[in-house]
This record gives sequence, structure tokens and C-alpha cells, in this order.
Amino acid sequence: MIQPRSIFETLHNSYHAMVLQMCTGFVNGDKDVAADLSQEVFINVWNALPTFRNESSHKTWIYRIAVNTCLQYIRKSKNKSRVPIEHAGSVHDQTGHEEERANELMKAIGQLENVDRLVIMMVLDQLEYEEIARVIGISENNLRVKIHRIKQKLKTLLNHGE
Amino acid sequence: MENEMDDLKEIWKSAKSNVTQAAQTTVSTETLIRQAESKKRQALLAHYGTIGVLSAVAVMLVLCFIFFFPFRHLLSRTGVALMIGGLIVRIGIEIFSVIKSNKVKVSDSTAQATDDTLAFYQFRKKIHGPVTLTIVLLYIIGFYMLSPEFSLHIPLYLLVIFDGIFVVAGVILTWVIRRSIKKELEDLREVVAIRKQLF
Repeated sequence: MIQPRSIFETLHNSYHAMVLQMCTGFVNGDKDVAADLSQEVFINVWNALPTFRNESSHKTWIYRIAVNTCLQYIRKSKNKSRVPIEHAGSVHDQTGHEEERANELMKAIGQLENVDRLVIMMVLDQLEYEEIARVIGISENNLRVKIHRIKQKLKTLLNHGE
Repeated sequence: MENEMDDLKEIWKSAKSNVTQAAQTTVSTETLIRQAESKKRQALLAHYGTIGVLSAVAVMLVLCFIFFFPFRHLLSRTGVALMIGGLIVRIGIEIFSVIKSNKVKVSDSTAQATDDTLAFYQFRKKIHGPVTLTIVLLYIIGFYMLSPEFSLHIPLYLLVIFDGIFVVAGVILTWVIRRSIKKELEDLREVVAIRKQLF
């Protein structure tokens, strides 16, 4: 039987980048808060590990925990002020143009509503609609309508930023 | 719009590795597990702490009324019953609250977790209203019903001190309760807002 510790280590290694990027997008690019939030996600993953029933993939399951932890963060965080959008997701290792586009995207995501922000990040991470619907707990049809609306909002935000 | 989305997906993909590299520290899994265990202990303490404190107060009161102040008058005994009864009802409510809060599972779907959280806060909102007020009132009335018999056994100045301490404790308790109610109502508003965004 595989030990929970080794399962957890595998999950942490496989999904740390995915969770950290989602948390970074959720907190408007504040790297320190995003690091803390992603730690919180994995703390919740460890505590929920005994309840994992193989009804979904590990990825979908971790997305559920990440989304719920991000939404809980709004309540737990006393300081709800957002990071200045100019600093949002600044990624210095990319080339200038890539960095600029990534920052614009992060900035636009930061202006969406909390749930919309999380949904579009799952879309950008190329999660299947069926899986996103399972993470959020709404029907796939509802999700499609929602995603269409979010994409339009995001497009407007990106075009206004140009 | 699909082409634009594909471009955005590419940007997102290439930004992922950089976000990870930019992270100043990566916490080891061992540290995370230690933090998780500590968080679990803290959550248990938070959940059962109030129940523990209230139960200890109830037990202390019962012991005091049996061994130190065995009241004989009907008025005093009714007062004792109101004080301890109010505490027991409150303990019951706290136990029910813990059951409701344990229903919220972070690994459930967002809609399910939000609905369970909403049910928890709506229950808390209900008990914060007339229920809490009634329990506090019963406790206060019960305490003052002890005074006549109490005054037969202790000097007046001690009775005044006891009553004074009770008033101060009541004011502090009311302030603490009000603060926690305010926080929970703010949380409730946040959960309602999230639910609206979901559907």
C-alpha cells in the first residue's frame, strides 16, 4: 500500500506550479500572499487526503481544494485590499514582450469577480469543461454560458489595457 | 475569440514555470505536513474550545451549588436552574454548530461547499438573535434570583461586589459576543456574494 506521505509528495511536486499560478492570479500577483495561499491549499490537501475516493482525478480534486481555499481566503483575510495592479504577476524571467503580455493577462484576470477569476484560470490551464463543471458544482451548460461571459469580459479588459 | 483564447492559454502556460521560479521559497512536504497537523489541532481546539469552557463553567456551577452554596429557597433553586439550564442549552447549540461546520468540506465542489458554509452561517445568524438574547437574559435573571438567599449568608458589601463583578463580566461578554456576531455576519455576506457569482 502506498503511504499517504509519498502520495502527498507526488501531488505536491506535480501540482505545486499549477496551484501557485492559480493563487498568484487570485491575489492579483502578490507573490508572498500567493505562496502562503498555495501552502494553505496543500495543508488542506494533506488533511483531506484520507477522504480522497478516486471519484475524480487528483488534478480535479486539487483544483476543488484550491478554489475553495482561495474563496475561504477572502473571509479569513482581514486585509482585503488588493495589490496595486501595476505589480500584478510581474514575471521577470520572461522576455520583455512575453513578460508584458503575461502581466497584462494577470492584470485583466485580477479585475474579474472572485469566482470568474478562478474559472477563467482553469480554462487557461486547459482543464476540460466537464472537469471545471465538476470542480465548481454547476451544470456544463451553465458553465459554458458563464465562460462565454467571462471571456467577453476578459477580452474587453485586455483591449482596454492596450 | 477562440484564437485569442488560444494565445492567452499559451501565455498562461509559459508564465507558469516563471511563476514557480519567481517563488522565493518552496516549502518542503515535511514542513507542510507538520503545519497541516498543527492546523488540525488548532481547528479541533477552536471547534471544541467553547464547548469545553462552557461545560467547565456548568460543572463548576453545579459543584459550587452542591458543596459550597446549597440553596434551599425555591426562588434560589429556580435561579440555579435558569443559570445552568441556559448554559446547557448554549452547549447544545455549540455542539450543533460544530456538526454544521464539520459538514463544510474543502474537497467538495465549490457550490456544495458554499451551500454548506451558507447553511452554517444562517444557523449562526438565527442563534445570534433572540436565542442568544434569551439565554443571556435567563442567566442574568437566574443570578439575581440567588441574591436574596445569598444575602442571608454573606455581608452586604460582598453581595454588592459579587453583583458588580457580574455586571462587569456581563458587559465584557456582551462586547465579545457582539464582535463575533459582527464578524460572522460579514462572513455571511461574503458567502452570499460568492453564491451569487456561482449561479
